[in-house]
Amino acid sequence: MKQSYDEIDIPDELSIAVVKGIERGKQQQLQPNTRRRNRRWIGRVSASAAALFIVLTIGINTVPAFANSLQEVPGLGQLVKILQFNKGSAEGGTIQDATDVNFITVKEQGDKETIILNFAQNGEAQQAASSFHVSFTEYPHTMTFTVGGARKFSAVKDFAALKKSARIEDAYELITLDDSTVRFNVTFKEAVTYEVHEYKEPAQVVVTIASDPARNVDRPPVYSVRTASIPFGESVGIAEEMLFGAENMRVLKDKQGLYFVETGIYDTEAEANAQMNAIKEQLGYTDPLFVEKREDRQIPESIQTPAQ
Amino acid sequence: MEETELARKAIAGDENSFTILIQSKRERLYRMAYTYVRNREDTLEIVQETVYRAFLAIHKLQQPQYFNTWLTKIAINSALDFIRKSKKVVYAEPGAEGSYAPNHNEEALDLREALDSLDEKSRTAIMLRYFEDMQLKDIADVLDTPLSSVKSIIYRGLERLKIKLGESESIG
Repeated sequence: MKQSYDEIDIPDELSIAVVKGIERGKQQQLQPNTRRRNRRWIGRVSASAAALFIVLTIGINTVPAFANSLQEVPGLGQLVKILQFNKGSAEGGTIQDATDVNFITVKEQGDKETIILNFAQNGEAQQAASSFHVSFTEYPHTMTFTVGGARKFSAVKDFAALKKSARIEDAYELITLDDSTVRFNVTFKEAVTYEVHEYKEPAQVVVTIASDPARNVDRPPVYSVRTASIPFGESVGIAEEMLFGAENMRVLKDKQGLYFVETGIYDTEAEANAQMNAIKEQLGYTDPLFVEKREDRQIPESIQTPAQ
Repeated sequence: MEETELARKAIAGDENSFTILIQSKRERLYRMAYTYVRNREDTLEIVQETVYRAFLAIHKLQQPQYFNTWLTKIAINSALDFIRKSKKVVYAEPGAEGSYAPNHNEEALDLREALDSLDEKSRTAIMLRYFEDMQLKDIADVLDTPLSSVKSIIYRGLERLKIKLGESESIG
């Protein structure tokens, strides 16, 4: 018994988890309202803090632009956790409903960039982040964000601002056949390193992106197994549902601004063909599937269904 | 540098000493946490939480020689809090927790089943005594339980484990 305890596999990410714990501790210490601070300090400051609070409350409630400008500040609330990524995906948040993903901002800070998601309920800032899932994939470098319990996605208006960023190629909403889920993709121009922090009171999810020169070398092309290009609409969701079960499925936008479902990317054309046939057989998918050769960082091609 | 010396510096506020010390304990923290949740992601999250709590509370530790006992206590509380919290989570679909990768090694499976059948306190006490080779006195500190009770908790736990493991042998 003792032996099997000693044989518990120690993952490589362990030391990172330790570093993250320390970092979170440091951030917590920097929070201005912790009890850790000197008590004499609190007494002297409390009067001016109360005044500031009144100003903020009036400001937020009466001037919408004021509230908006506050939401652009990353990590306004308390840090809940720093996400642990496993094979490029991670999740966080708690179950909420009737959420509006109301606001996304992007901020450049030196060589880093932060993308901040804000959540609202009945027009007020939500206190805890809705449950969310985030994954990073390649060919092209894409971040896929899924927010559960969300009925509205006002932040679609902010995609234009996102696209102005030097590292972001595109940002687009994905059709989801579930009226309580909001999904979107952000395509990056290059390989990036990423870190995701979750905050509460108010709820924010902050994604920090930086270029990753080590991974920014031209890599060999891959072969993608995918559907034909489809205009934005229900049929994208239907194709996705029919292919449900494919392990690395994702929905992407092509060069023409059309959408398609990809079931996986493979190193060789032969492997892609074999996988394509396997999917057709296992899932009984009858619409045509294609193998597309895709270079590193290339936006997917548009493929039309051949006329029959 | 000696552990107690590092702990003394960490208590005084030296972040470097804290980092060295905690990194040297990370595998131990991982194994202990793993005993409770048995999957990699959750264990890593518990380790992160443990380090976070330890970082914030280190200045309250009065005697550097108790660093290990103190850290163990935080790790176990973090693990138990995590389990309590995650019990409230409802998964959307049964396959949603697919990240659990049970070890099919037969011996490990036995250990897992047998340990899981014990209550939290017995499980923790047995893990600390037999896997971490901790002194009974220190276990009593970690569990906030009198030494005599720790002895009986371990004794009873072992009795039950013996029955459990014995049963599965006669069947298999």
